[in-house]
Amino acid sequence: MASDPNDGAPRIDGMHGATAQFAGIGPESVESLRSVSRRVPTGSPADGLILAIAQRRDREAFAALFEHFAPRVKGYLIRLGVPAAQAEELAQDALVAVWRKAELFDPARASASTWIFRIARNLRLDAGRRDRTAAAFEPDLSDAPDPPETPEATALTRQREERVRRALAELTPDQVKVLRLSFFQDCPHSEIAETLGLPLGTVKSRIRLALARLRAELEGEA
Amino acid sequence: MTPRHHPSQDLIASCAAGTLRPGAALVVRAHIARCPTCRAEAGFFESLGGALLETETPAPMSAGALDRALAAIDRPAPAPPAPARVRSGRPALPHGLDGVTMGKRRWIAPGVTVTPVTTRHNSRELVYLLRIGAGMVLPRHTHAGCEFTCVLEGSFSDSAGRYDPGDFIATDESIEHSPVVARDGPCVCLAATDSPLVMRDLVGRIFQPLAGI
Ligand SMILES: [Zn+2]
Repeated sequence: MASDPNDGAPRIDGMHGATAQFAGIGPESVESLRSVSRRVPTGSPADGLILAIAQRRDREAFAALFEHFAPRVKGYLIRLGVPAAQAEELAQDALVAVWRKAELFDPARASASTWIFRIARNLRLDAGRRDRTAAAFEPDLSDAPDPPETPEATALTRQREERVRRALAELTPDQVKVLRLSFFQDCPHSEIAETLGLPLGTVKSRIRLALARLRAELEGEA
Repeated sequence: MTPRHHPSQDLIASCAAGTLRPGAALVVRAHIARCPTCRAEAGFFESLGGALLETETPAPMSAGALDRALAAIDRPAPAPPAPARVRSGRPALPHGLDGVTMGKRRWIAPGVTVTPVTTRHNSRELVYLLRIGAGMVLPRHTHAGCEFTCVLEGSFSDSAGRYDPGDFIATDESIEHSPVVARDGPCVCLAATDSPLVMRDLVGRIFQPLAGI
């Protein structure tokens, strides 16, 4: 960053490169975000940042969110085969869309990362459109909350988020790798096997095992 | 009533991941909008997407990226395009089917019309609304390519069962059926196919009996 206008601002630092650490929020960053959290009671620091944008157009919160998520969205898009320059542009668009759509964010229904994932996913799908710039900003119902659910369903939604995170953290790096490949790239299992240099049977059983463990975690408390 | 015929877990996962072709995703979303079970399933896969994004290896943004973003948020958002118009007589599309444009309704046979649906995503699939009159029986037919259908209004039955609003049906060359629309009203389905032959197939299957085959 050439000039950082946000020194001293709440930010999710210490997360870069912390890919192995689930949810990625270390103690220091929690501390540095405490000021935001105090103003905005919420489940996770990133949720609080989006709420701060929604409630008072907080540019420092936006900067912190950008620093954390833009490189991850870019990494995710590159994984999908989007050329780096376009991935950068789409990551920009995604975070700008977060600013513009912040009012639609409902932390009871989705975590910040799930909501941003949905925005990035939809932008990528729209990338082929001729009027792509308009696509980045038009209201997209798929980013908006689903129709009202029962309070039980809403409570379960948030629990599910936590459990998916916990369960993913329990998986071995290899299992996460195959899960990532099969989920995002929609690779046939044979291609995943080739990419990872593993026998096809191993890949299949790892995907099955990884999904089964996620599910067991989810259903264990149902 | 909640739907009884659901998309496969793979379809829901690829829809949530954004890797399913757009027309097929539209049909899956039409089902999900009416099905709490599959909505929860899709939610699970979206949470997985979020968690995987959170743990994604960051690709550093170029120098000045944040400054450009801060400048971008100061600019007014482009005006959203007018919402898709649904002309009178067309069934309202369920929640989640944003950004689709309805084409001109085409008459196929007595009591049968087809309305092409254009998704806002580039895709070579054919997506359409099929409206079949009350009590009609379609001749026995198979499907070219892989076709997904969601009932939006009314109901029909075939030898495999009865399909009510929200029910999802996946068909391919291996499925041969002769759907019968319920007598109490017309049936409207949203369908997507990856086969360019579908219109010929569709017209053929409806005109078969008229041609005496
Ligand atoms: Zn379902």
